[in-house]
This record gives sequence, C-alpha cells and structure tokens, in this order.
Amino acid sequence: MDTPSGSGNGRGITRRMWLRGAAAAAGGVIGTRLTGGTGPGALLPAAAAPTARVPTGTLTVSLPARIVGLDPLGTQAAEESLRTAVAGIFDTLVVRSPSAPKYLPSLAAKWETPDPLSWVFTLRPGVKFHDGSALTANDVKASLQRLVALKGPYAPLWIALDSVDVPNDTTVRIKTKTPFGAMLPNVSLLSIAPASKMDQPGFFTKPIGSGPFRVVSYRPDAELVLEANPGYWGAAPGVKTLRFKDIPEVAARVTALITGEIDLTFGLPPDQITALQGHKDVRLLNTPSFRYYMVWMNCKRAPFTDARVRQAMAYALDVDTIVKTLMKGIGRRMSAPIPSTAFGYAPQRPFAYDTAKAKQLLAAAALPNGFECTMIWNPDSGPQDRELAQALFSYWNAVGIKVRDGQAERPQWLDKLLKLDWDLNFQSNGDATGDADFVLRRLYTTQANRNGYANPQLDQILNAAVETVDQSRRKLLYAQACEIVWDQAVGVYPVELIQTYGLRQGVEEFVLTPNFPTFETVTVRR
Amino acid sequence: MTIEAPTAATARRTGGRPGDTAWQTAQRLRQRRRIRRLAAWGVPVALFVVIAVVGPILVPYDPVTVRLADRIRPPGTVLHDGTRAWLGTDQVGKDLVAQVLQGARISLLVGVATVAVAGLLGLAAGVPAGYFGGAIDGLLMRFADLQLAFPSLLLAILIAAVLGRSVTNVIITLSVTRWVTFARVTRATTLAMREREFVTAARATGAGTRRIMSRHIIPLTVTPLVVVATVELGLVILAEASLSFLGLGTPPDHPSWGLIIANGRNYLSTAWWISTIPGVALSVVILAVGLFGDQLNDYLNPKAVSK
Repeated sequence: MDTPSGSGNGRGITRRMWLRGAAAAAGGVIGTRLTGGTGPGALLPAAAAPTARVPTGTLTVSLPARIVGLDPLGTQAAEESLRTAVAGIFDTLVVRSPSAPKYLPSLAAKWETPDPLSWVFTLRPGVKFHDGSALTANDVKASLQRLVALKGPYAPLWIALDSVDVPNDTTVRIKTKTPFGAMLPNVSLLSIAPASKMDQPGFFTKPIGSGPFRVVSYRPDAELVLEANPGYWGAAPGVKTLRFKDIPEVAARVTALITGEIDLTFGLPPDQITALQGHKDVRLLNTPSFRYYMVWMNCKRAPFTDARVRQAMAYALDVDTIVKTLMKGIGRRMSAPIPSTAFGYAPQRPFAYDTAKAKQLLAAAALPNGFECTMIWNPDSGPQDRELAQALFSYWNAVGIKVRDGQAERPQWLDKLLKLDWDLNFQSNGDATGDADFVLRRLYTTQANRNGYANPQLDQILNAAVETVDQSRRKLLYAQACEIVWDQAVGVYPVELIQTYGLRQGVEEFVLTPNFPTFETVTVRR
Repeated sequence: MTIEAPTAATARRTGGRPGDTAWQTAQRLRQRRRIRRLAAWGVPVALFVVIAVVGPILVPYDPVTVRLADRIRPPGTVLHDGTRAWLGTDQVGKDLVAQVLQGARISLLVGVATVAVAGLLGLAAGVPAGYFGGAIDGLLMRFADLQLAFPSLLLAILIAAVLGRSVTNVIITLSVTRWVTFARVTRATTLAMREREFVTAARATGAGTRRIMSRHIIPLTVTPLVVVATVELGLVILAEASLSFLGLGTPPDHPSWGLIIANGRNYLSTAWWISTIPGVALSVVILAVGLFGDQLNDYLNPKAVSK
C-alpha cells in the first residue's frame, strides 16, 4: 500500500561489527558500502565475531504514530509504526544496507538465480525462534503464503509469484512467472514467522519471531515492551529492554523527551526542533529519508482525465515558499515522483510557480473559471501535514480551483482511497525498499489502478524494469518512468522529508538510515 | 413608639414613595440595587453579543488563504502587507483577530440556538409531564433519565461520524443532550402551579386542558426557564468548545474557539497566543454569562434569595 511503510532491518554480523567501529569514529553516521551481493553466490561473511557484549539498560522510544498492531504479513503491514516496532522481533531473508541500494545476508546466508525464473535462498543454520523451535525453510514458505493470501499492501509486490518449494530445511526456492529483478527488495520486507503458530488466533498480540528482541508485553495504544533475545543468532542488541511508548501528540512527545520520560523520538516538526535546539540533554540528528508528501488526482474522474488540468495544479503551487517556511529543516523540494534517496531516481524538470500558466492551462481545458473538488486525507500523515494541506487549498483557490477539505479518520480514509472514491488524495508515502519498483510499479501501472492512471507505455517500461536483473538497465528504465509520471502530473510531489531524531544524552550508536530506524545497535550509557 | 406613615418629603429623602412604610421603602431600595447589579453584569454579556454580531462584519475572515511568510508572528507584529496583527498569526499566517471574532459569532449562534431548541423540547416534555402526571409523567421522566445516563460524548461522536461536522449538527447534538434540565424545571413549576386556585377556577369555568396550559401554566414557567436558559448558555458555549477541540464540532473552516485552541495545541511553548487568547475569551464569556444568570435569578426571584 502507499501508506507509510518500511522495514529498516539493519542486521548481519559483518555490518554490526563495522557499524560499531564507524559509530565510534564518526559519531553514528554510516558511509561505506558492503559487499552483501545482489547477484548469485553472496558469500557468508567471515564470522569474526565482536567481543560478545551483554545487553544492558532500557531504551524508551516514542514513535510519531500509534503502533496499530504487530502483524507484518497482514493488512496493516505498511503502517510505519508497525514496521518499526516489529523490526526487532522478526528477521527477514536479507536486509538493505543503510547507505546503499545493496542487500546483505540476514536469515539467508546466500542466494542464487539458477535460471531467470528461480531464486534459491540458502538459510543460515541454527536459527531458533523465541520459543526455542528451529526456523526452517517451511516457515519462510508459510510466511510468504500468508502475506499473499491476506491481500495486504505488500501482496501486489508478489504478483509474479508462481510457487515456493522447500527441498530441505535450509533451502527455499521461489519460482516466478516472469523474470523478477526486484526479488531482494521484496524479501527484505518479508518477516518470517513460525508456520505452526502464525495462524493461531491472537498470535500477533504477542508474536514470536527470531529477531534480536522478543515480546514481553503489548498493550495496544499504550506500550510495547521488548527484551533482548538471549538465543539470537547474531550479535546481541545493545539494550536489555526496548520500550515503545505511544505518545502521538507532538507537544507531549517533545515534553517527554525533555523530561527524560523517553530517550528517543522522531517525526519532529520544525517549530519543535527549534524548541529543542540548545537543550543540553537532547541532541538532534537528521538524515534524508524515503518519505515524501504527494497529492494524487483521480485520473479516471473529470476534470482530472485531462493532463492539462493536472499540470495546472502543479504550476499553481509555490513549492519553494512551502519548503522554506513550513518545512524548514525537515523537507526538500522534490524533483521526481520518487524521493532522491531511492534507487531509480532521476531528477526532472521542475514545475515553476506560475499562476498565469496554470490559469492558461485551465482555460485550454475549457475550465476558465476553475472547478470544485474534494481532497481526502488523514491528519496523522506526518509533520506539518495540516499546515501543508491548508497551504495547498490556498494556492489552488488562487487559480480558481476550490478544494473542499475531506479529512477523515484513518480507516475511513484508507477505505475511500482503495475504492477510488475520491477526487484528490493527499498523504505521506514511503519507499519501503528504497527501490523505485516498490512505488512506481506497485502504484502507477494500469493493473494496479491505485489512482486511475492508465498508460500502456508506462506499464511496458515498469514491467521491463522488474523483469531484468541488470541494475543499470533498470536505472535507465526508471528514469523514463519518472519522466512520464512527472510530466503527466499524475500527482503533485512537493516535498521529500528529512527525518530528524531527538536523542537524550547517553543514547549512543544509533544508526541513521533513510529507512525506518532500528534499535538493536543502540546502547544506553547512564 | 408609633410607626407613622412618612410624609412626602421624608419619602423622597429615603428613596420611597409617599405612603410607603419603612419596609416598603427598603424593598424599593433593594429592588433598585438588584436592577443596578443586573445591568452591571449585563454589560459584559451585551458586549459579547455586540462583538459577536458586528465583529466578523468589520473584520472579515478568509478561511482559505494562507500567508506562509507571516506565520507564527507574535501579537502586535506588523505583517508583510503592512497591517498589524493585534493578536498574532497562527501556523499558516492567518490573523487571529478575524478567527477569534468568527469564533465569538459561532459561540453565540450555537449557544442561543441550542438553548432555544432545548428549551422548547424541555417545555414540550415538562409541562405535560407535570400537568397530567401518572403514566405520561413516568414515561417522560424515565426518558429523561435515559438521556442523562447516555454519555454525551458518545452521542457527539456518533452524530459527527454519521452526519458529519457542521454547525447545525453541533446544535442538534447539544440540544439532544441538554433538554433534560429544562424539562425538569418546567415540570417542577407545572406541578406547583396546577393545584393553585386560579387553575381550579379556570377548570370550573369550563376551560379545556389546552387553554389552561397555554393561558395559565406556560406563562408562569417562563421566568424560571429564562434563568435556567441563561445559566445553560454558558455551559453550552463551553460544551461546544469542548466538542470542537476534540474535532467533533464545527468543520475546519469554521473557527470555533475550541478549534483554534486545538490548532494551537502543539505550539504552546513557541506560539502561546494561538491557544491562550481564545481560551481567555472563552473563560471570560462563560463567567460573564454565568454571573449574569445568577443576578437574573436574584432579580426575578427575590424571595428565593438567601442572604
């Protein structure tokens, strides 16, 4: 789904070793690339284990949105808060490197493509779930089948899936109907749960995974408490207890950070950031992210069937002023329909702020006096979303486009969105895999039908891009796709977000990634 | 000592009328004092009404246009177009004066409309209940108890979810939850009045039920109803602000005071004026209305006053 999403699994022995060294040297910022391998025969990294450290201390984190559940294979899988919370509980076959579009071994020690339609993953031996049972290839198969069967937001990623074979306990063979270049990004989102237990009712209220943390307690809308998993196959986490506290109100979160009730939070709007600067107990870190704001037009509904109307709406916005005033320090002007941090990004010609041209285009589309429409959205999309929505209404109103405010509670908004029962849709979105396929092919093909846009040429390009493993060819194809979506103004893409983290003194070795944060490397020194 | 009737001169000096007894003079003085107090406490209320009616006309409110370059300016700053924002601007640059005035109008409108509707509902339920007694009384009062037991917030959520947010829906929600007070008051008055001699006399002369109710009972319920209405007005304004604060009241382009306070929630430490100014206005208006209601009660029910 195009709702906030992402799994930032940054695990793997080699990476952790390297991370701690780099963190010590550069204060928590990552730089170099690692040879995790995206092609056949990735090597198991040399097991030069770090000095085994004992997890100590408690880290209390507050996420920008409530944790809606703990099921990473179901219909809420794309929710940002859920992915962040379960990242420590479950493992995936591979993880994306925090700094580059490369994939590192996690549960899969190596993988290969014996023929264009098969991917064979060899699992690392000796992995146990939190209840002591062994993790086998069958669990991988069951997890994938469940993800597809529940028809959640990630199911469309697996449209090309043909079958999953399990020749033995440590081998998984995934067969696809067409060659599939986006296998690694996709499996980086596939959390592995125990096959024998995952379908039991209530399993996901206290789920069992194989990750560095196990669930102690979960009180929905209040708190999730995790503790370090002593039987973890990888390096032990830095803290013994990881608590997620639900504090959705920004002002309350900032206060909690200042008073020490929580140790870490993010999703801070610029006004709160200024309030925190100079505070002696709090330090601020920021990183470009995969998240961005967008407004879609329903391309199946008049007047948005006419590309000139959509382009007029793009020309009507003064994006530079919006970024300078509302998004100061937390956003950059977008120059493509996907964020600049994603693989496949190619900068496009920006739409200048030109109200005359906007009115001209509207007149050419036989709408000289503008028109009326409604914009659906949910006011918990991200920092400054309410202000951004008001700014959009204002700029469009100035060229005669009267937009009614159709804000709704999140389930109602999601429902309307999926039924295509809207004129305009405003939301934040995230590229959960850091790969253009996740956004462009999942959301903009005729078959996807998420915003009514149907362009056979674009479909061809996107399908070709996913059916090849040649990354440079993919990059070229995605550049073409970006150009089509941008120039045709399928949506307006004003801002991509810079994520700002607030950490209390004593919280160290936190890894900055454009994806969702993970906490297994963090140590708390008091 | 004999008590003499004062002369005209004595009367004028002490404030009485010629022919008054000392007690009557004292009574007159007390009454005048009450009227003066009533007028004094009525001034803030009248001021609120005038501001609410006239203010938005003088300072028009544009719900759509934002002025990003002027966002979060403290009260008194001069903006980019040369005007002065006396109460500051909010997080998208909209002037707070226009919003507060618009909020005053919404508060007045919702308050008066709710009290009128709830009052009528209460009258329609309370008078028959008190007059007929028996099964009708039982039925209506149990219904009232049911209404009181039902949490008003849940009803507000239901109405906002089903019918959407609008000023009309707020009036509906608040009327439905608040008619019971009016019903109880009118029922009590009716009960007291129906055994009085003039009612028996009217019945003896052949007056029907409807005539008795409309000619004799209802006019007598007006006074207590007016007092309750004034007190309820303050409470309704507060309830409306609470619903809007929670997002269950007026829609986003109608800046009720509750809504403005909610908007400023995340800026309490950086832009305190967004929440504080409508909050102060709300407190002052509710206090003024409540105290005026109190004085009105003193004025209309002098025997009930316990000094």
